[in-house]
Amino acid sequence: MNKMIKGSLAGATGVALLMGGFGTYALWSDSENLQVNGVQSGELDIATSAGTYDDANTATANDWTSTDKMVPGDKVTYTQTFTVKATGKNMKGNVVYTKPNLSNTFAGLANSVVITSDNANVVESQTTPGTFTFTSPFGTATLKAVVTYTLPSGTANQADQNKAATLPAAAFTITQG
Amino acid sequence: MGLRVPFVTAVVGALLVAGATTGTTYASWVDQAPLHQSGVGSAAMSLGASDAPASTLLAPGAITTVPVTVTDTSSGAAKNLVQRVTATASAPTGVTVALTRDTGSGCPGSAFTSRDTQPGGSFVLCVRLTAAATASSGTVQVVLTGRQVQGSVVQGWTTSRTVSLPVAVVPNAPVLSCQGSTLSWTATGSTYRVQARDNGSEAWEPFTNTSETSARATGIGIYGSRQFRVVAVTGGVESDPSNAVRINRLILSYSCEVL
Repeated sequence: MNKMIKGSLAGATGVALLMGGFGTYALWSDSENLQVNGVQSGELDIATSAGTYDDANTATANDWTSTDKMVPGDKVTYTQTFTVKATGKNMKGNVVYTKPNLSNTFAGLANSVVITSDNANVVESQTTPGTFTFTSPFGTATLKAVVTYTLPSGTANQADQNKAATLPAAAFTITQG
Repeated sequence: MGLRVPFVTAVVGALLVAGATTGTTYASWVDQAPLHQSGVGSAAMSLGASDAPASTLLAPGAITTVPVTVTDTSSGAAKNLVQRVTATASAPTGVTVALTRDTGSGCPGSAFTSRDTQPGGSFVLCVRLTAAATASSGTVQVVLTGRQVQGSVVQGWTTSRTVSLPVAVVPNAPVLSCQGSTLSWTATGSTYRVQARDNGSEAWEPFTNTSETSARATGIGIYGSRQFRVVAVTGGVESDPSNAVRINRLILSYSCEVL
């Protein structure tokens, strides 16, 4: 072999030895996962649907229509339910309904709005009717609003004939706080 | 330059305070749902009655019945309205009124006391009229009163409706008599129409009208004769004709005979 070939072989052998030397390094290592984590938000919601009229003097349910006419002695109710949700560890707040003025041409018609809660954690204020408070998350509750119209039995002669009364729509507002 | 630094400091401080305040007061969830509009209306309670005849003739001693249809004209949408209808009546002198129920096939039935109706319902009230011989014409008034019934208790609204029934009492037929050429008759009307006809004639013709109860027969030729009769009139209502008499003339004297 000539000198050039011998030199090339010697160089290749050296490089190969050097490369083999690199593969012999070995360091310690370790690892731990940051576990899956996350958060969820709670819910504050109020929903309702159409109400129903009822002739409160009969045992039959929902037997009054908006076109029926009252006479003395009649007691008519309009009932509407509200589904209220409040979840979240630190959830607290209130539900407020402020009764608007009755638009009314009657002289002797009695009218009231009574709201009840089926959840002991949603409590009506003793001093402010229509205001319900909750100091902790309660899940789901149902509030029932009953609007009552009463034309007294003793309405005599021709009094309060062809009259009308309307309770305008008004919001139930649930507020965190 | 001396005022600029304090001014900028104050502005920045105010912004920071406002921001802090905003951050503590506006951070809560809110939701709303409406209590929908609701309302009621009231009805009206009323009674209607069929139109009464313009006038009803009453013959003394006879019974005349006038049916009156009473209708509950209250609001049809009055779900719980029941009214109890009662009736009272008043009448001119000598006319008696009895109110009876409709039998269902006509008047009269048993005595009417009351009837419960609902909007749109109706019934027939029979008004029975009897006139005495001395009865006066005038107007019979029937007052219908409706009182609301709640359950079994009468209370609440009331209403009334008056039905007027003009009645004319037919005078009795006069009883005609004569003496010579003088006709006289019993008083049964306010005026009298004397009618005459020649022998052999069928048609009665007006002879005279008078408010007296006697008249003299005239217009009879010598040896002639005519027949007379009288009709009593009260309030435009004529009685049946009286009996007839025949007056006969000789020359200067008259004789008569009751037919």
